[in-house]
Amino acid sequence: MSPKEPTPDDYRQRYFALKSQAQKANAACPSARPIGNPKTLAAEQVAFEDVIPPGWYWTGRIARGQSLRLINEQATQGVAGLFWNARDTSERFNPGDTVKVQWTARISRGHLLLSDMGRVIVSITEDTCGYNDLITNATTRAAFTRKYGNDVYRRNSHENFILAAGKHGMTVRDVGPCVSFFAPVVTDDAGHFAWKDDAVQPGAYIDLRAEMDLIVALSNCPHFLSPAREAQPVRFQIWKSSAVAADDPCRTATGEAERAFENTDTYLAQY
Amino acid sequence: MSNKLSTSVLDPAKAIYDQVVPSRSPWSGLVRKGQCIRIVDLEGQQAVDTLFYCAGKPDECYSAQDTLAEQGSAYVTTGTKLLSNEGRLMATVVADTSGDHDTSAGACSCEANTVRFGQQTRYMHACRENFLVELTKYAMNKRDIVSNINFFMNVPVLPNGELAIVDGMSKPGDYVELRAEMDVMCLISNCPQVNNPCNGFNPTPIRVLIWDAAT
Repeated sequence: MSPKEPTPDDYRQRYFALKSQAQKANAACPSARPIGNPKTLAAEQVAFEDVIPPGWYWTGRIARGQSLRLINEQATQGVAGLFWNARDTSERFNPGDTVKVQWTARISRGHLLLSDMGRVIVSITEDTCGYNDLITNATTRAAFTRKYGNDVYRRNSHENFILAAGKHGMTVRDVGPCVSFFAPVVTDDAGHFAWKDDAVQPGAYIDLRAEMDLIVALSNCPHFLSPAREAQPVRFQIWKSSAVAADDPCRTATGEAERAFENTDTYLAQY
Repeated sequence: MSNKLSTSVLDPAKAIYDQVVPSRSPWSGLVRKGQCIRIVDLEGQQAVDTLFYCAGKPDECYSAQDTLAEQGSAYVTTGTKLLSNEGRLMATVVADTSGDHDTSAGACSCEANTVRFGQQTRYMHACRENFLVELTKYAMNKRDIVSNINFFMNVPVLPNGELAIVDGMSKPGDYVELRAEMDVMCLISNCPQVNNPCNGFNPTPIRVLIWDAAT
């Protein structure tokens, strides 16, 4: 006899049980998930560092186990990011899956960035600002023309991402929706967005640990919903962290996180 | 919630296209500038995962993030202007009898299902399977799948950041209608998901109608 098929009510009960567990885990996050990254990195830990000028972008590769630290020395209002699997760039950061799987749009320390293939591409191992936006951001020349009037020299993240992707042989079709770090977009009860002033303080930093070999693009343009018209320089460091351990707080935080890491492990074992 | 409910005067008898899309199935079609497309949730609580591409120029696609940022609020409803990844107007929502459609939570996939619900859900049909098969007809591929609109899917984004799919609000016969502002290819997955409430745990058919501009 075959096992009994789950009924709609079985599915409903499982779903709301998962939702309840996740909300408890998120209520405790991020304070429950400290990783203990050094506040200041020793020179020998840093493989590469640079400063992205206002309006510009940086792109490069980050090996699995390395971390990218973004240091917001001058409180720029939003830095946009894209991530691709370096082995197969058809796999990329997927904000919809990232917020849905983790049951929150408030993605911060202890959370993961997920790819469209149900795998972890980044663990957020530190985040002193705590606000990253995965839901909005208008990045185009057209949007900024509507906001500020025509300025042919104003740089925008959409074109920055086309440039960054292009330098790895990719095209605009590889430029999916992005994540904006240091972007305190909050939602009221009616679903209206607001920019939480003063949430981005000078010196805030975020650590992003690569969970597979990645191509990264960072674009230093102000978030569309921020009051800032111009960006400030933003520093980044690629530093030698270590690959995720079995008891890593990002990995063990939730059942969803454990399953996403299992999928990543299975994939990496194929190489 | 910020519903702006509205009805349409368009007469189904005058539609130039009228098709029922079976449950769990994909659909795609061309909607020319000025034409209106209506998606009817025939039995209620049925998520309809939808994307738009500039016809003949597949690298210009709907952008959820641009649309929400310029709109300044989190849901798609009457008056929402759907923007492309170039910031151009693709379509406008001209009627909505249900309200507050999601465009943040993306489409379900076999892979994401395993993370959310366990490895035992890997071999269950999913929206991105529908999208990928349908996109192939246009020589497009997985790279072209971006964050979509989930018509009739209820995903409140709360002030504390909490985001979860909850029971749909659409009743049998509720519809959403959009006017194309450029020639667009509309891609639909009539969502097959049974692991969450987006389809009332029971996927059902939808109906797609298109009217000419002069109707």
